[in-house]
Amino acid sequence: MSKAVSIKNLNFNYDSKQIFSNFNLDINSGEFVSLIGPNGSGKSTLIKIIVGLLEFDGEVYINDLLLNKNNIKQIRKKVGVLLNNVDSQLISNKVFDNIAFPLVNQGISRDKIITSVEDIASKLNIKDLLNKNISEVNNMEKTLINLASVLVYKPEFLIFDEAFENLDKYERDNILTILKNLNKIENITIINVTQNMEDILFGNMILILDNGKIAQYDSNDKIFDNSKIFSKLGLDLPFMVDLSIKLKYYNLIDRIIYDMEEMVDVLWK
Amino acid sequence: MEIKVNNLNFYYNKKSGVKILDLINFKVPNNSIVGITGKSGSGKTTLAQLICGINIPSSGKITVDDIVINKKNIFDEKQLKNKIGYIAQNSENQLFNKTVKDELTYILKFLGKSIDENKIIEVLNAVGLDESYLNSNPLLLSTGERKKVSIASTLALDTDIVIFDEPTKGLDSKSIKSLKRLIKNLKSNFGKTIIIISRDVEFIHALSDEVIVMNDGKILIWGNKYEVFKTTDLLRDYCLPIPKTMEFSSIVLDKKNIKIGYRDEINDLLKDIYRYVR
Amino acid sequence: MLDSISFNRFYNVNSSLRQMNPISKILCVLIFLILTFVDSSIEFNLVLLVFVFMAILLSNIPFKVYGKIFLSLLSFIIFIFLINFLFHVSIYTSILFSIRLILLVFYSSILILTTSPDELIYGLERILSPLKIFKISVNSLALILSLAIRFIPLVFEMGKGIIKCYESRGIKFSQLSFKFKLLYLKSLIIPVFVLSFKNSDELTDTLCLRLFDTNEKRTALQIYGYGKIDTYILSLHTMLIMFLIMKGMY
Repeated sequence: MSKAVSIKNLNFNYDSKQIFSNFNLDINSGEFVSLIGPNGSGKSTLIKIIVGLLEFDGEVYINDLLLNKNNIKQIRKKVGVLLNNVDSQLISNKVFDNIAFPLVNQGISRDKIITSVEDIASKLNIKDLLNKNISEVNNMEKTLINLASVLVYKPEFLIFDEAFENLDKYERDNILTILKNLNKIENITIINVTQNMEDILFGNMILILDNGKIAQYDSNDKIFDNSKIFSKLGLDLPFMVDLSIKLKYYNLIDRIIYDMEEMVDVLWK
Repeated sequence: MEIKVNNLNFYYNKKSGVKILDLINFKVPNNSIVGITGKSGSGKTTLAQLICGINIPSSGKITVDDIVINKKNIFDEKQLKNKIGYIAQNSENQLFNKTVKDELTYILKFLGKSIDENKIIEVLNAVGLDESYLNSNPLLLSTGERKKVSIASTLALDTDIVIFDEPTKGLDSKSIKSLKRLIKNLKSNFGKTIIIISRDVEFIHALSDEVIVMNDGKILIWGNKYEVFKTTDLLRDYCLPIPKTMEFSSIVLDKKNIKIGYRDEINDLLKDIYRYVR
Repeated sequence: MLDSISFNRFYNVNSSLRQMNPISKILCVLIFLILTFVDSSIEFNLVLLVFVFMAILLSNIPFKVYGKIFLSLLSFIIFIFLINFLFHVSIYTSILFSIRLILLVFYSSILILTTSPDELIYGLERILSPLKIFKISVNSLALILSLAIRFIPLVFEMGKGIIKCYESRGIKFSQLSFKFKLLYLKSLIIPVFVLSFKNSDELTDTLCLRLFDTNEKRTALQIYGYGKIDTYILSLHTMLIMFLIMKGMY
């Protein structure tokens, strides 16, 4: 099976503090991984290392290519990264130019660019923003524009570092559903770093970091079966998972139920 | 400290005619926690900034204990000076002193007030940072730590009213839990009146007595938090999130016609479910 | 105070000057600015003044905007007359200085008023592109300029926000002691600096991640036409040069 990320023997210091020591991780292609952990556990640092923004000791393979100065451009063409800040990912004053930016940088023909940008803008429902200036759009729209600029060049691997904080719940659920579909239908590998525990229900794997080490990395089901790690690290569980586990303990239900209406039906048959 | 908002209207730019706040009316009772929630852009921060005097209403008035907020009263020691503390959304980006201790005391120095060392340490502990932070450089701290320092620096002013604007941004669950404890403490042990602005309905639900839901510059619904969050159809129509425990109880009522209680915490909900399923 | 810069900013109204290609506009203004220094005869400068009036008419921008620009120059002009009077320089020289000042400021203002920041950067980028031979990255320069234009207002917003917070607390800068005035200024400047550095770090990361490379060919998204108006105006400016050369020969 092809690996999206393969990290071997990673060592990384910052300000004389050892963040990662002999760190190893393998993520298969086509997984949708939710990366969670307390603040300071190294989530953002790990992301920056994977996308080549930090220098490190060890070997990192992205899509089976060794990450180094020679390969970095080639690797980046296939990886889409959305970081946490909103304004500093917008390069131009015009909405259209921001979304077109990665295509402009590759010298793609003007006509192809116009089609691709309009295409992705329709998919994300922001076509009416294309003629506007950045000063005329709000934070939520800025997040969607940033997302469009990352999806427009159709990367195989998407990485999000707490990128959806600015979205209201419905928009957030919409975007995560779009990503879930991209993952299922086009087999795009996704890593979503998040503090919002409801987000992890959209992925199929959960990677829990604690102090620069992997506390657990497994499928959603397996992790929820043995979820003591969450309370140990001070993390919340998604509401329905938390409720299901507690109801299971009292023998009121026999499995994890994700949908509220379904659970009500099961409890009061 | 009771806050009353009457017929408040606010335009940023009179010429453009775009009303940011439209006919806002509500009351914040003394020593209560009022949560203001709504989508981004609904006017929550603007409202908070009007209450603490950063902006002046275009029409209507805001009173604190029956004193109208205006540019004059804010400066008057006997009236409103230093009665309202505001912790802005990006407050953690406004730190600039050499040490955390300076950061906690500089506004007191500006206001010519005396500095009680013990109180400073108390405030620092209250936000979950220990004494050793006093000599740290605030600019070198992590985002979460900086946020706590900025909250502490406003708490050090010991204002009767404290307004938190999106305090949970960038905090992890542990820090959010300790922030909840802090705010509850401010109400019960320090008698303060608190306004929380947040898009996180779970946070609002866990802490508030009353809730104001805003939409497009207007108040959609306000009142006792259970009464407000019970209106699931209305909230869903406006694409607004509902606290999960309230949503669950509402679904049970709608589908099975059974009235289990409306709760804040999942463990209390659990007890209700257990009782009504058996 | 900072808002007062607005009367010299891009004014979006349709006009023949708006239709011009940014490159030709910048070239014309450059020619004009150089020529103001070449010939000090009053006659020639009056001819240039006529050019300014023509440009004002073509710009389709209300006169009160130009009025404000002139008012801002008035104090300088009075200053020039005063200085020249003190140093016993002839009235003639004072008038010449004043006219030169008006020519320079007005012509460059008209350029900024009739050209959007993006067009200006596009024009500058093309005009400076021969510099690539000296290994200066014109792509990056253009990008830096447009990023500065985007981020400087954000940074000022932060400063304004901090000042408003102080006001709401009843703290007035003017009422503070000298020591505290310094602290107040520090509280404005440091966060602004920190934010700027943070933004530039993050922007650099974004540039890398979005495949920006100065050595690669980048697609030109904006296509600016070249039309009759460009030919007319460029020819007019070229004729000015011819006129000067002929004048010099006699």
